[in-house]
Amino acid sequence: MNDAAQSSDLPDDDLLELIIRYHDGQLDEYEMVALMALLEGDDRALSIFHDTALQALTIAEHAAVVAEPKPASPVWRRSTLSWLALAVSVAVVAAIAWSSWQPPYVVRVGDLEGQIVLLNPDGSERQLRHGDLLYDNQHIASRDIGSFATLLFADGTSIQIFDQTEISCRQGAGKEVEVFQGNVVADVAPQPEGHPLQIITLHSITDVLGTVLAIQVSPQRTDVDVLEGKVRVARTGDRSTVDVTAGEKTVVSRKVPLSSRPRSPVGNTWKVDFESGLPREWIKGIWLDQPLPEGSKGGARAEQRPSFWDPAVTWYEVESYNRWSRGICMVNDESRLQMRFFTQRAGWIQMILLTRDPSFKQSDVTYEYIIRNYGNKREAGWHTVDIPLSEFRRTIKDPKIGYSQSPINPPRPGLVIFKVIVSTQHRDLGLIVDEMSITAPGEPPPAAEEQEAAS
Amino acid sequence: MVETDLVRSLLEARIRLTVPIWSIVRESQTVEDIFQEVVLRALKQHDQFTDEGHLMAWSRTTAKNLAVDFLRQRGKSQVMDAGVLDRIWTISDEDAQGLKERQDALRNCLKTVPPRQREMIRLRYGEGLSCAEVATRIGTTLDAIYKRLSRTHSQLRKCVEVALQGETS
Repeated sequence: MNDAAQSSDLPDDDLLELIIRYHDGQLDEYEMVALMALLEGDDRALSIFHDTALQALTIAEHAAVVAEPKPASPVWRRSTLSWLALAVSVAVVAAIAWSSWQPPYVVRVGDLEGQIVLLNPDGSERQLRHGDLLYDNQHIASRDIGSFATLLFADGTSIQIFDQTEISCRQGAGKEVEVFQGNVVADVAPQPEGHPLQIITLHSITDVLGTVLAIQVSPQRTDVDVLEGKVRVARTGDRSTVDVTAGEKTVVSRKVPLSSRPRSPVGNTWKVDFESGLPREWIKGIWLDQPLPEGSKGGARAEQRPSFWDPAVTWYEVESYNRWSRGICMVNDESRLQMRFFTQRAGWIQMILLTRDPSFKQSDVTYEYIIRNYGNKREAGWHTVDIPLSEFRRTIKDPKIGYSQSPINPPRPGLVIFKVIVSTQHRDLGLIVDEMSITAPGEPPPAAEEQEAAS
Repeated sequence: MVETDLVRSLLEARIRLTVPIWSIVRESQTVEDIFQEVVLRALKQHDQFTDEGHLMAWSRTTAKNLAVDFLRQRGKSQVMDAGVLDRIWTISDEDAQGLKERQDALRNCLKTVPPRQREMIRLRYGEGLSCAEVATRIGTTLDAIYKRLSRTHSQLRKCVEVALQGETS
């Protein structure tokens, strides 16, 4: 224990409430600093904190004891035959009652594509199908790239979820949609006065009375883009609020004061060169400072990840940030993608572009291009490719139709690219990406993005 | 160390390890997962542990790292300061026997909690619902849940203290 520790003046009840809100993950950064200072310098606070954790763990481990005891059944003396008859009767009555009664569902699954799963509390998953009914607090996740699903409330409100998103829905006096991560578009029918639909994220609560909005949630921030109508966004940390109207957006994070501003147009070019590290919120890639081509100071080596189709299989990928809300850049008539990369041996490399409609109102679309024949099969080396976006093909979600059979169906001008993936799938080619860019004729060369420190 | 001795030692030290892990991750299922992972990793290298003290020091560090990694992977920003983490592990280590006695007393005290409070703590810690979810389920406000939980924890602490005083007097 800390010899210098002293007792603070904070009453036990206030301290306990602070601890309970910490357990609930609801402290803002100032409260967190205050709690840490108490635990560092006050033995009594540390003892209460430790004791509360012991209580919580013990309650969790003995939930059955904690549960309200059921009234004991009366003991009747009956013959074995009578017991059997009673049991059969009860079973029949229960089966009839169950078949005629189901709890009210919250949302129904509409159109869907890809791996959209229900996450069970025991950790198992079940693939959802069109028409499935979902109940209070059930967690739904979209797993693979390009997947999407529409969830429909009874009043016509629709929630569209896109790839790698996890949400749950509730219906009480008002509707609640909790977005744990990913990209969601909500088209909300007019809600009863005083009972707005609430979209809840780690950082914010958005009250919606009837409008269309897009929400992107990452661990660091929540982006709210309003497409029609008006919403009120509250930051959970300091409970500050801002009204956001059509054509505007707000970013909710711990570091930036809450404000709304007009949505910025998406640029026509993009570049990332990893010179001083991976860009903020970059998803897959391991930064390295050697081996690199002359003049370069940094690159991104392909990182392992479980395959979408079989988690036991390892894939190798460099995957950019998810800029669904802000966009990476817009597709133009003659846009081109350039990449300088290294492989220890030649083998095909899959380039994937994730795009969304500029209005957020249509499903996201994935396009791919396979890079082949770029070097001697047995020799390691650096290569540069320059691919017109018009040579990308829309990914077809039919396993019978491979890439080579799919028609060239390039991204149309105006689509917004929000993620770029370079994958060698299960083949470890030792891929290193030195830089990537998307250029457009008539546009100045793109500047490299702001990056994190290499350390 | 022999594998059977290693498992016995870790199971005996379970509460010493799991309380600090819970303080970091705040999810009962994750605590279980991390404890199991520590046991599995220890078994894989059982011949490297010279004695129980060595095993405990290794388990503590491994559990702490796994817990902090879990928070980071989940993007949770509320990671404790390293100094505070050390103090929490120390308090667990220093009073290992007292911890078991407190937990035994606590199990009895839980039986005395009134039904409504019992349901609330079961939902919060047994089912792992957030306080907001508990508030919705019970039909009250989030602030009310925070206050009721504070009261319940305070009552349980007092009950345990009375029970332990009774044992020693």
